[in-house]
Amino acid sequence: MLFNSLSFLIFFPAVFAVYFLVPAKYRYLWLLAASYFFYMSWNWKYGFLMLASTVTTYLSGIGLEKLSADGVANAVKKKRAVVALSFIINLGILFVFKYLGFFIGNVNSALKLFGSSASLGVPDLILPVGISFYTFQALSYTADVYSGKVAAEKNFFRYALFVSFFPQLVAGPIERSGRLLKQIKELENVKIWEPDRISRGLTVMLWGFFMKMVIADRICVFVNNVFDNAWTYDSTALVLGAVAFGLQIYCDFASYSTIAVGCAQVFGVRLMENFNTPYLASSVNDFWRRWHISLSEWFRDYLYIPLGGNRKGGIRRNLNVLFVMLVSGLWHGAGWNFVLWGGLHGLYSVGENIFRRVHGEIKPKTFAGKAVKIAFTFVLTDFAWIFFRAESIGDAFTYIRRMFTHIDPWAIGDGSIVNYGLDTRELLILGAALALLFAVDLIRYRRGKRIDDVLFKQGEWARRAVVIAILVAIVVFGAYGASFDPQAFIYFQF
Amino acid sequence: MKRKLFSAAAFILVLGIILISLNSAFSFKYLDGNMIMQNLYAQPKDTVDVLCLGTSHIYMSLDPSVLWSEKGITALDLGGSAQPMWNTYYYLLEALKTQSPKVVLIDTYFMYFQDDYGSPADVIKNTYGFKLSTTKLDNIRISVRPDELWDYALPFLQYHGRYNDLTKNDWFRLADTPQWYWSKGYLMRGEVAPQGQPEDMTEVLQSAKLSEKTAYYFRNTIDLALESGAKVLVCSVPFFEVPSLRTVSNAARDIVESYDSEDVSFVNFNDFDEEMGLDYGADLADKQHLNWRGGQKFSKYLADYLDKNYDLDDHREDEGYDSWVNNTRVRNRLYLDYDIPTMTDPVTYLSALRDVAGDENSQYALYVALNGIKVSDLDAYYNEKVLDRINSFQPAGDEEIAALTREEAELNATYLKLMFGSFMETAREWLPKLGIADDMSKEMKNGFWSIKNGALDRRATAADEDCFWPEELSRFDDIALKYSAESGEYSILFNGEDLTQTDEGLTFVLYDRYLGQIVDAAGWPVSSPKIVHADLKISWTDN
Repeated sequence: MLFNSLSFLIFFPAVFAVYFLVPAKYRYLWLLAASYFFYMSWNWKYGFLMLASTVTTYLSGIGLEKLSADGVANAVKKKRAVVALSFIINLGILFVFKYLGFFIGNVNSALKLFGSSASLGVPDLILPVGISFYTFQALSYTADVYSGKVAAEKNFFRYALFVSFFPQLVAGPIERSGRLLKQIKELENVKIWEPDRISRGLTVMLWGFFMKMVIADRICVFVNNVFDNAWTYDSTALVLGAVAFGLQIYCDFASYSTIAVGCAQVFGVRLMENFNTPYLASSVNDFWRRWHISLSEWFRDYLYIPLGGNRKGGIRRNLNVLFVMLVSGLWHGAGWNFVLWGGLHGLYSVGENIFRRVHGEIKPKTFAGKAVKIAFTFVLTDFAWIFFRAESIGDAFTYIRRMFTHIDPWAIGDGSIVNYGLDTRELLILGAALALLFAVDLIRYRRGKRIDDVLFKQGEWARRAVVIAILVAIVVFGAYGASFDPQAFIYFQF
Repeated sequence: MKRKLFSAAAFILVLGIILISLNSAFSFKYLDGNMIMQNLYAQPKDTVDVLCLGTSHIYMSLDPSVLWSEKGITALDLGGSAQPMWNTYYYLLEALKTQSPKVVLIDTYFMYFQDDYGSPADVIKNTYGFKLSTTKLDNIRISVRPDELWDYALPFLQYHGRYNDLTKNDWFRLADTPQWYWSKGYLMRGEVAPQGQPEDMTEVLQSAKLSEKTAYYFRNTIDLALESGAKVLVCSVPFFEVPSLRTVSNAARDIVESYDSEDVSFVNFNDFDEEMGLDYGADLADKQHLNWRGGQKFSKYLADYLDKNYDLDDHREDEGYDSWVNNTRVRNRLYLDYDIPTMTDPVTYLSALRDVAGDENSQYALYVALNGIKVSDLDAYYNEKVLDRINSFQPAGDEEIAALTREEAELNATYLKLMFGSFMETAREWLPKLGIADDMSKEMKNGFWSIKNGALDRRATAADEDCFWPEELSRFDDIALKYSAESGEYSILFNGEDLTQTDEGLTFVLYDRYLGQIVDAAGWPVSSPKIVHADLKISWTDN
């Protein structure tokens, strides 16, 4: 079920009410049942895939721990075999459901290129939601047990909850066992009725809903219109469309993480922050420290560092960066446009590394200098989003070509903007919502404080007034209901 | 702890008030749908003798005030736009909770509907008017596909996105206006869509195949009415009937005949169009609906029909039926408000204005502006305006053409003189009857006048200085009389909009203070033999 659905509106308080009532030591079982219900509400068959991933990684943990005991012959070799088996099974499932179609499609194209009339049948598999997220989370457990960062979890059900914890199950953040599993073990010690914690969690959730329902789902009308009809639009619309998509994907994805963080907090679990004002990053490397932080850290710890990281010289380091970014692109979607998007970010990072090495890092001291650096970073990342959003590489290049060849600066002032998908009133609502988002992000950027940190320092009624205002904005301006076709959270497909 | 609880309760209270207010404002207020149901809830218990069910054919054609005026019959229109028969069934079920009608009238028009589900708007119009009950939920359930049930069962999901469509009617309680407070469900339409004579239907004997769902609920509706003790009159209300729709009403007739009961009967009123005096050139608002003139004719005929064929009481002398008296009073007023803007003959028009504005109890306000006539007598005006026009035709060159042009101009001038003469004559005779006595009879001058409660309220003629008289007409309407010394123009501004219709003649603006609506803005230019009305775009949705 989607967070922004009627089902969740019933599911969430019901789960919390029972959570409140069940004996403390059984809380994790209740959350496990709720998580599987949550996941299987999309398609009950998906549950078995997640169970398979859970069982294999659970057993790998047990196996690794047994192999770590003294006196086991060829322990290292056997442990590596266990890790390899766990990775092969899990990545194999991921490959079959996510990449097999893409792979076969490319094989068929290659065969055609070489004049063969043969072609392989493309399996008709539906991508299970969130499979990339829980697969990576489960694999991190295998890797962490192997490296001795965490002990193997003996209680299967506790471990199963770690893989399936519903707030972050389908779109992250991708948690580590060192954080989440540890908290799951301590669930029985959580003080259930803690009004401050619950209020904060609900406030964070509310802000997430605002980002999703008021901003992301409104701006997507504009984005879809421009991208779907790019061949009819000129530079102003195309540039605005690209900027709008950058905002859409941020609000869409960050909103999910925000709701997840708030939701988990209500249950007494603290999830990691997945976004930290990414569009205020001053370099592309900085962007990846702020965008989808849990995935960046996963790739850093389980791919970049094992590849040698930055320990094997500049060239190898840059190659590693490039490789990780290409894999990251592929993680985001089975399509060459995603690979190109990842590759572009890889090139940005490598370029920055080389520039820093040759010229030294530019550290502007003035506001204007910092702003220019932030703006430049935004231009780079936003340009890359075009490949991410376009249906194909060809579409992306058509988009970019028209952006530079069909220049129409007069469209900025002649009122054409209201013809791009949102009318004047919708644009005003969107503008006001974005202004609020910018203010919240700026406070986070300057003071490192989340919206709930700021609000809960204010007077009680001032805080409540803001909460009421956000709630009313969602109720009135949010995209939901029968006339609205819910935009699935974009990141679900990954 | 107490303080915290109190504080939390206060927060929930504030939030609740805000959300309830928003819900009230955002909820659908379709005048051709859910709002009609509100009329049912407003009726005194067990007072409705004739319950009229169906689609717009019912509530745009059948005026209960006529049935009351003619025979003292208490009727209520209870329908919805494009209402499928299953909704009609639930409408009857809901009505029977508070009313015990003696006759249930069911219109057959929409029985041609072959789908099992209506459009989203029609579902909303035909289900959302109910008070929350299992009947409402059942009505929704039968109207939508199973997977859409929750989308409709929670109305806010449907209407929260209306922030772009909200009007004053969403924030203002419509039921506070007399036309809705006393309404019996009738929505009158003023448009005229002339049609030719419909085809002869005497040869159309075959019957259409109704959808299973429609036929099922049609029978259920009849059965339910019979169980309640009512007699059932299935009918087709007059419209511009075509053969395909005649076969539909024939199918309904077949079902009625299958009952073989005196308590269930069928009439296609299209067969009696001549008897009721229906004029297809003037009595239809569009092909499907009668306008208010046609509605009056049909309603009178129906009153006679019901009186002859059913044992219905005349309640005009009974106590407890004030709402029908008041509805008739409002309705008659609305008829007048619709009629006045159609009058083009100056004498007829001025006579009507005299009747409404000259009556101190009528609660009409009339505003008159005179512009462009700066001299006090006809000859001077003729010399200044008309001869100047003739003299202005001085084409150089060809003498023959010049002579022809002059001849034409003189003809025009003669015509103008006649028109102006007629204007002056009629104005001098009739305007004093409106209360503008001295100014008009003695000396024509620029000026404006307001007449309220049957007497001249304000006047300004040949002013030397700028003048601006604003006046609050109702909660939502304002009027201002304005004079600009620089341009010499007298204007009537209604809600900021200049309604002055002519810069050379008289402008009339009539406002109905009881119903809170502008009735007419009309111009009578000196060069016109007719009154010219502004298109104020007042439609049936306003009443």
